[in-house]
Amino acid sequence: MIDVLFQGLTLGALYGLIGAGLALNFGILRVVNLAHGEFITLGAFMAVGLVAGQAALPLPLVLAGAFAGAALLGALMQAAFVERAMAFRDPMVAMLVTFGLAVMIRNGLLETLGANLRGLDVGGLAQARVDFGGQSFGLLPLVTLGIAAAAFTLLAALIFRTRFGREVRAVSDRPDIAAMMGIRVARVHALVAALSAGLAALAGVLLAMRASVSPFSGVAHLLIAFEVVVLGGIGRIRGVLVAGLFLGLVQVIAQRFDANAGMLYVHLTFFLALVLRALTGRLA
Amino acid sequence: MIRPFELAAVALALGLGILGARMLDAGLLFLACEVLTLFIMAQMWNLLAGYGGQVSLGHQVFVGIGVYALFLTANATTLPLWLVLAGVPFAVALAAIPLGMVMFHLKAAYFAVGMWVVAEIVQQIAYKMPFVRGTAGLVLRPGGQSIQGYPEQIVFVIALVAAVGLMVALRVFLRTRAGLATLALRDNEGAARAAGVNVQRLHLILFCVTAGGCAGAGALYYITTLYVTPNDAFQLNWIVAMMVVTVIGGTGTLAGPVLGVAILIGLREGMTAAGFSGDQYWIVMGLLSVAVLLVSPRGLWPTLAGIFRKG
Amino acid sequence: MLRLEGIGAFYGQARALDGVSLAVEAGQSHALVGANGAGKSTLLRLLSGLMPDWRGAIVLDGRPYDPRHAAARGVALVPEGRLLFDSLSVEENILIGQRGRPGPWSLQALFALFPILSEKRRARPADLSGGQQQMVAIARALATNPAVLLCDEIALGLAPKVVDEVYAALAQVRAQGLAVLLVDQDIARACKESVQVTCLLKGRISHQGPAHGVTAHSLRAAYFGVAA
Repeated sequence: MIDVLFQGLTLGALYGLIGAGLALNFGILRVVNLAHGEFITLGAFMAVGLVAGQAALPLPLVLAGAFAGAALLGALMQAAFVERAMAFRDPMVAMLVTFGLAVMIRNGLLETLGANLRGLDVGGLAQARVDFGGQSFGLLPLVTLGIAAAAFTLLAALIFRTRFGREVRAVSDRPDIAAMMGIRVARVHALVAALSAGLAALAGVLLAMRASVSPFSGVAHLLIAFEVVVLGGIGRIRGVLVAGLFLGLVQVIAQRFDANAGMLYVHLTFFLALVLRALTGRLA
Repeated sequence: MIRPFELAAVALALGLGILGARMLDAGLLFLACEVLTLFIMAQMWNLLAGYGGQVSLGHQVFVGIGVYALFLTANATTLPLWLVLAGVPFAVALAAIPLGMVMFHLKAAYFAVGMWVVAEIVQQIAYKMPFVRGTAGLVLRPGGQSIQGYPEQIVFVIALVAAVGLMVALRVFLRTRAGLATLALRDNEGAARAAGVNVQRLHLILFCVTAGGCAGAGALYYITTLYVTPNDAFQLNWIVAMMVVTVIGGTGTLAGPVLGVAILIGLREGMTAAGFSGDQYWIVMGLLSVAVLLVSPRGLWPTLAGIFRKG
Repeated sequence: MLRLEGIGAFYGQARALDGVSLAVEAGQSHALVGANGAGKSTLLRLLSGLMPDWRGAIVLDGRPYDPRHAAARGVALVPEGRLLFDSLSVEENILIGQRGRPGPWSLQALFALFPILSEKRRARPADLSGGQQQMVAIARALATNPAVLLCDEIALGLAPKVVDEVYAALAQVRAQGLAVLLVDQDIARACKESVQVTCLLKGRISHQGPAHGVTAHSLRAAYFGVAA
């Protein structure tokens, strides 16, 4: 029982992480980035590539590499395409642009890597266990949980405690006034997109250590991220974390009863919550 | 009401359909069926997104539901296949009512991705249903009998008449009171609401009509393949194609999807002949839709039409 | 300090300003008055870089001025309706203005100008009174250490006592050598605070001259565009 709970929390923390990236993008840029799932896959594959090239690379460097690579691509995408689409009156244009970009990235991955499932080989870390209070825990989930917790703490500190975070929130509130005060809005947007993509890649690396990923995983992960954001609320980092943990628990518990259900029960839980909210009229 | 030349167009489609079914070879007929059914789906997506302002990323769910409604009903009963096909759009449109009522509590981007989640749920449930037979797939055997001859000949006639009939029906519809309300909705939702248009009801009607249309088109398409799996019927590529066709051709115009389908299929056939892979083709389509969105966010048709009018 | 020559501005096809010329001197206030839609706010928005489509020449400190670089050149707007950053605290709202332009307006100096804000530094704008919100908006603009302060309806909706407080603060600001361009519905009040007055009518100047002794009554022909 404790084991299931622990696994659910670990997975849920990762769901929270990918949700946080999407929420950041949606909250600040007001664009639902439909390529978010692709950044998760991209992060995983970059890590696989890094480890394949240099097996002895320590985990922090792998994580940093995947983060930096995805962040760079995220910023480029924002600056080159999405920022221009945001100028149009209809906000759906920017979302459809990210959908087109997602199609490009997904098929680009398929073209270069094929449709095969790949996992990230972490050597002895996968089997190692530690005893704690008479209970034995896997080291890998513990490390995952620690990294996710650290990422959440750093993100909250960055947004609420730093000058950059202040400017990000100002741009989110009133982009025109922020620009008038001398904040370079497009630059803030690109940095937010980079941060969002980087978080996705980080989660992607950690997900690849748990289970294999393929270029098709992006869609499933995007939907999870979306559900986390809707249930947790935009602009509420803690809400996103709680929603992620909840859906992670649902996933792990459902898997105990129905091993090959995929994400069905997570999606169903989300849909039920939606119907409930629709019936009670409590909706964003 | 319907104008004489519009009636003539439908009659012409019927004539050309019968003629084409006799003259064209099986490969061309198959391609034509695909083009026509894809056009119907894209026009449906356009009706909801381009006119209604409701972008859905989950309409592939209705394609899949339509296909399975047809296959399962036709296989289990002795009803004529074409009668079942005629019933599919209406049944799915009715079934879409409660779904629409739940989903419309989500706005804009939330609605779009929410529909995607619905499509995932239905696909995964379909996998679990024993009568769908999962990845083993389902063969179309109306009344337990294998289909004789070439169904694509009849499918081609139906699809051509349906595609032309859809264009005519939409033209007629847009001249009615409800049609004018739809145009008002396309141009400015707030103003339409202020002018007394019941936006909620109109959205629901468009949602159900487009659900039924996608279901009918999907059912029609899979009669030519005679075989279906959930992976195929519910695939993301349906919605990608609907979106790409509409966005490139022109959202909120009737002619846009015609142009879009021509570009999508033309490019695919051209790139396949030139030896490019399917992945490369989709990369190009993704790039093309992004480029069109950034240069002319309402699609190519309005821009081209503007150039012709000026020139 | 700031000189405008033959300014025209457009909203699409519609001309919002036509041939507007005026000058604002350091340490002085210039009142900008006129009926609704006369173009006052448009002129302030233009000077703040919020109007992309305009003609004419603007000179600030003897050099040509491009409104897109308003913050860097030292032009700050206190917008109508305050338009504060709602998810930032009072202190954070003010700190947003600090972007490296040297000048006297540190956080301490601004808290000295508006002592109440020091007490409310952690509060959100939504939890403040209208007068306090107005003070935050002024402080946020001053934090950029501007040479020119553009004030759009800073007294709107405030109690008379609070209006006096706000204008008293503005007098202190002028004493530091700032040039102020002032838009206020209350013509007498605006002119009492100012050295020069410009009245706009449908985007054109209908009156320009010394502000001393000007009242709503003496300005009514220029204001309404009819013979007095």
